[in-house]
Amino acid sequence: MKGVWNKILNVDLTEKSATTEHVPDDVYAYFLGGEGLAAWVLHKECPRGTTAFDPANRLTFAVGPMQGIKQSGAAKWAVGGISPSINMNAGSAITHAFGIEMKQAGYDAIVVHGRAEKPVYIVIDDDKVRIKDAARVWGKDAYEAHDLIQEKEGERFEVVTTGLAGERLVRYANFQTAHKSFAGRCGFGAVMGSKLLKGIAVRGSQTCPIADPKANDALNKAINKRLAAVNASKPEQFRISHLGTAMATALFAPQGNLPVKNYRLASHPEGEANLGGQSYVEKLNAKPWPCRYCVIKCHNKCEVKHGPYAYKGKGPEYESFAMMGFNLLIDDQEAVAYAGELANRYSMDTISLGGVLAWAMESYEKGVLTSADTYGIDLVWGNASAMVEMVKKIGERAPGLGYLLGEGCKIASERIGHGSEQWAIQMKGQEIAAHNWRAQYISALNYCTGVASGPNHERGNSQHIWVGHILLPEWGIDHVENAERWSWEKAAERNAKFHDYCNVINSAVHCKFQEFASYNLTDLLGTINTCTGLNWSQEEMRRCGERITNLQKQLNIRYGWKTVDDFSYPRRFMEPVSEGVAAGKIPTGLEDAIVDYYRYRGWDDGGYPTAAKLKELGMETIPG
Amino acid sequence: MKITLNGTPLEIEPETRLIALVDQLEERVKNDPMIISLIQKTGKSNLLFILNGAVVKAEDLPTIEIQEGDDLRYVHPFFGG
Repeated sequence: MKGVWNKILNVDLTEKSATTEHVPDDVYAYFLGGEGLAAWVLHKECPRGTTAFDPANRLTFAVGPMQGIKQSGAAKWAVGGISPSINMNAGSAITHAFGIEMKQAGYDAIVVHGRAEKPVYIVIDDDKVRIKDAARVWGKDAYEAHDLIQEKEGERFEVVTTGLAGERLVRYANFQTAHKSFAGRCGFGAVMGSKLLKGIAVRGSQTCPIADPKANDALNKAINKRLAAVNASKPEQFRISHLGTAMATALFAPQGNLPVKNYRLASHPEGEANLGGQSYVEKLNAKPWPCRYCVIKCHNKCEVKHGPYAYKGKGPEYESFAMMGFNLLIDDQEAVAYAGELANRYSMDTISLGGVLAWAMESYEKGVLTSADTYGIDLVWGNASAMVEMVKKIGERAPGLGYLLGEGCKIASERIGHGSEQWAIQMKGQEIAAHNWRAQYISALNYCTGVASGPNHERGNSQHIWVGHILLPEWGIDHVENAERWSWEKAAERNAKFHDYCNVINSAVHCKFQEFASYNLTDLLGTINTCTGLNWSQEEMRRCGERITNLQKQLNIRYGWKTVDDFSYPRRFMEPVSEGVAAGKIPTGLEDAIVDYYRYRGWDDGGYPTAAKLKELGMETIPG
Repeated sequence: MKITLNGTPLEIEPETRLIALVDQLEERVKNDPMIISLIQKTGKSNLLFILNGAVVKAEDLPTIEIQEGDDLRYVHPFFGG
C-alpha cells in the first residue's frame, strides 16, 4: 500500500533499545493509521490487566496516509494507549508539524515501551535513534523543556514535551508541541511521566511515496483554494482565521450549549459579553498562528501586555473559555487566558481542569470543602484569582487538595464523599467536554457510548449536527430539523456514523476543523484514495471507521469496561435549566437510546459486539 | 435534471435559479436558534454556497441558473471546538 511506510519504531525504555517492525498492508487496509494503528498496537501487545502507568502500557505516537501531503489539515497526528483518566484504551490528537517530521523520518508510528531508570528524552533523526539523559529538562515546564531540547538537538527538530503535571502523574496531564498544540484529553502526558519520558525530538528527510501524486496535488490545491475562499467569505466576526474557536461562545450561547456553573445554569450574560468573540481579538491581541499547510489558521498567538495576567503565548480555545470561564462563572477574559496558558505550561487539559475546579467550587459552596482544605483560597464562583492559584496547586501537586484534584473529580469526590459524587460531572473517570446535552440530546448519547476516550467531543462529534450544522450527506445524513435536537428517533444511526467518521479522520489523520470551511467526505475519500491507492467507495471508507470502532470496543472490554459504565451518567443530566431555548429539556429515554445505539451497531443489548457483526466486518481475527 | 447537493443526487426542474434553492434551504433552517441569533447580529443567515468548487458571491445568487450535473454545497459560518 502507498502512503505508509509499513514500519513502526519500537523504543523500549527499560531495555534502552530501539528496533523497527514491519507492519503488513492488511493492517492499514483495516485500520488505516493514526488512532486505528495505535489501537492495533494495544490489541497486539497489551493484555488484559495492563494499566495506564504499567511499564507494559504502549504509548503510540502515530501518523496516517495523509501526513506529508500539502493539504490544509494534514498536519494532524494521533496518540493512543491506555489512559489514566478512563483506565481503558483511548486516543487523542495533536497538530502543528511533529507528525509530518515523524513521517519524514520513515515511521508510521513511534511506540514507547517500558520505563526508564531515570528521566530521558528520545531523539530520532531518520534511522538514528538515541535515548538521552533528561536531567537538565526534568522539572521544567513543557515550554522550557521544549526549548532546551530544541536548542540542544537543533532547530530543525520538531519536539513534544510534557510539564510538571505529566511528571507528577496528574491523570489529565497532556503533552504539547511548539508551544501551541496539545494532545489534550485522556492523560497521555501522565503516561509519559510514568515512563520517565520528558519528550521526543524528531527530524526526517524522506518522502513517503503516495499512489497518485499528480491527482493528489491537484486535489490539495483545489481543496486549499476552496477552504481559503470559504474562510475569506465569512463575516469578520465569524471568520476562523480571525477568531479561531473563540468564535464559538457567541454562537453556542443562543443554543443553550455552553456549560455554566458546573452545568447548572442556562446562561452567563457577563461571560457572553466578555469571553471570546471580538473582544478576544481586541483585548488579547490575537493573531493567527497556523499549523503547517493550514489555510484556515484557527490557532492564535495572544499577548496581554500589562496587569496580573500579563503573558504572551497560546490563545484560549473554545473549550478553555467554556470550562475555565463559563463553567466557573468567571468573566475575566485575561484571567481565563492566563490560567489556560499556566495549565499549558504545567501540561494539564483545560477541559478536565475546568470540570475539576467546578466540582471543587460547588463543594466549597455546599460546605463540603472549606478554606481549611483550600489553603485559605476563597474558592467561590467567579473568583478569577482563586482559579489561578488552584491551577498552580494542582499543577504542582501540592499536598492536600491540589494533589487530590489532580486525580480528577471522580476520585476526588469518592475520597471527599458527602454526596459530592452527585456534582462530579464525569463519565468513566473523565470530565465531560463543553457541549451541553440539554441543547441536543445526542451529546448525552455520545458521552455515554464513546469507545475511544470516554465523554469526549472529538472522538464522536455528533453534537456538530446542530452546534456546527455539519452533516454527512454522503453517508445519508443530509438534513435535520431543529426540533430533532430533542428527539431520539434517528439518534442511534447519527451517533454511530459520527463515531465512525471521527475514527476515519483520526486515523487518516486529518483535522476535523476543516469541515467548518466546507471540507467534506468526498474530499476525505479522494485524499485517502490518491494517497493509498485503496480506491475505496464511501461505503468502504465508512466500514473502516466501523472496524476501528469495534476494535476500540473490544479493547474497552479487555481493559475492564462493563455495560453499567455506559449507563453511569451524572445525575445532572436529568436536572433541567429554567431559561433559554433548552429550558426544561432533559434527555429522558436516554437508557433506551443507548440500547437502540447498541442494536444499530449490531451489538447485543449489553453493548458487546456480536460474533455476527465481527464476522461481517472481517474481524474474527485481527490482521498482523 | 440531476444535480448534486452536498454530495448527494438531487432532481430539480430545468432552468431553476440558484436563488430558488437558496430560499428553500433558508426556509429549512429558519427556526434554528443559532440562525435566529445570526440574523439578529448580522442581518442575514450567513449560509454560504459553493458551486462547482467556487464560492458564490451573494450578489450573484439571483442571476445564476443551475445546470445539469452541477455540484452545489452549502455551509454555515460556524466554528466550534
